[in-house]
Amino acid sequence: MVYFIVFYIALGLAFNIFLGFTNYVCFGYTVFLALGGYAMAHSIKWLASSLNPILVFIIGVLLSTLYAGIVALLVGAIGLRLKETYFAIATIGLTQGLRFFIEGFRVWGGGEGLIVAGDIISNYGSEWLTALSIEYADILVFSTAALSIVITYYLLNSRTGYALLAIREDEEVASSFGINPVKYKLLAFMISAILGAFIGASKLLKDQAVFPAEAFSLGFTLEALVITLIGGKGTLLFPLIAGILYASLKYFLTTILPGFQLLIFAIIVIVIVELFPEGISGWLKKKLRGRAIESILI
Amino acid sequence: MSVVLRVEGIAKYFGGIKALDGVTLDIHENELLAIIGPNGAGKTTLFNVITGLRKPDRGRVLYMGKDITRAPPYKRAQMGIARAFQIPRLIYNASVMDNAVLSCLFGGKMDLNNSKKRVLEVLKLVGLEKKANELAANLTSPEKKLLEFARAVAMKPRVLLLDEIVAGMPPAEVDNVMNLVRKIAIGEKITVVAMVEHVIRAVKYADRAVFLHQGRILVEGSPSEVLNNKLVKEVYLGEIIE
Repeated sequence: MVYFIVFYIALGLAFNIFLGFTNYVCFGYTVFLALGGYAMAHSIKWLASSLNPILVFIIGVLLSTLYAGIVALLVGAIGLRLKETYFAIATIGLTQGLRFFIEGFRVWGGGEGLIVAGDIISNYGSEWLTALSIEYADILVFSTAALSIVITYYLLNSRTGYALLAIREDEEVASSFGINPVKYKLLAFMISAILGAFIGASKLLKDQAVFPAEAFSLGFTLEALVITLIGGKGTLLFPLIAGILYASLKYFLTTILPGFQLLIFAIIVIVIVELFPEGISGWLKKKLRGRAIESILI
Repeated sequence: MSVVLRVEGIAKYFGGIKALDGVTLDIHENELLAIIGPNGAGKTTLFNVITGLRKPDRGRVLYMGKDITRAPPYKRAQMGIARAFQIPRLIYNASVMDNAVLSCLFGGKMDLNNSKKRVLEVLKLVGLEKKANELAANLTSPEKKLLEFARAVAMKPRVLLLDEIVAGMPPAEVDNVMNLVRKIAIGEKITVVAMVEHVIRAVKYADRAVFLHQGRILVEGSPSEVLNNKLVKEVYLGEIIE
């Protein structure tokens, strides 16, 4: 349950670093979670017989960074020259394209995916299966959430943050004052993608398997979008609160009304977008403008 | 006087419309050059070509002798070409200070502390220092225009392009603003290219003026020469005087 909540906090925060600071929506965000999962699976499959589990874990994290970083760089360098809408559409293509590539060419386990539970047990024994799926998965998702907070805070208070703010408002004006729009958007995209890959890697440790049909579904992207919409874009505190809210509500709904949670969330999202177009944060900031408490809202 | 910026045979077409049709113009170091001409003469397009927001179909842009025709806008800004837009394009949910700090940080390549100092200095020059922490959205229209101007000045540009700085202002205000522009241009050693409305009132503040019509420069000279030119009177001022 705690993992579940922190998972959604991290997801909201990581997703918000790109969407909130640039206004670009990446419908292919799931790809980065999937890549993180595959990276961790590869590290285990390839190295479990020769290295100790802690090293395998660390290499898995590094490999996630590499996979997500490279894909984000390639996609971003081309895609981020497009306008927001076209970028969003192009990234849907990315999800499907990568999935069919893996399934069609039978790379990375093809349609059957990669299952690593056996590799862990045969090399390290079953106590490590528990350790990786509980402690290490938790550590990774917690650190990702913490890292996302640190990065968001830095972005809100730095030169890079100023650049992203200007680009989000008006790209032409930003470039007229010496800001290279593609560079900063790409930076935000890559950071967000790599953090997403860490979340995916932690999920792999939890499930000990990654399947393309599930890993490349739009699910996580939509959930991240819902959390960001509820919380408000480009802030620190609110994706955090929205993440907790979303995770608890989802947990609760799947228990009492299994199968209906998505339908109910659809209604919640419509209500939120109608009533609080700038999310909870935008609404609260307006309410509290001028009061002392405003300064702590970040 | 040395040429700081030169546009050479610039042509820009939008479909069948010739927005610019072979414009060649030298802009001299530290001068205040006024560009006048009727709506649709190609003034804004010329600015867009100089700042890099539009690529010309023909011709070159030379900045301090260097061909920058293919340089992206942000590089030109970093080299020292600043621009104030006709309709202020500010970040309205950010403070006056932050709006101007942006151009110092990136266009002026200053650090955050120096940027803030510099912005305060410039806000004082234009009389907005008391509003530094105000949201840009809460400014009056003339104040927004001043901030648009101050933001461009703050980055210490070598060349500053002012797009209709006095458009829509009452006559008395035109004199104030043009005086301010002149004062700052001299004090800060900035070469200013200004498109101006209120031609008769505003052009006298310039060192030199050019008349742009249907994408071509038809007349070039001192402000009085240009204003007294027969062609300018006929095709442009005629409409205003009558």
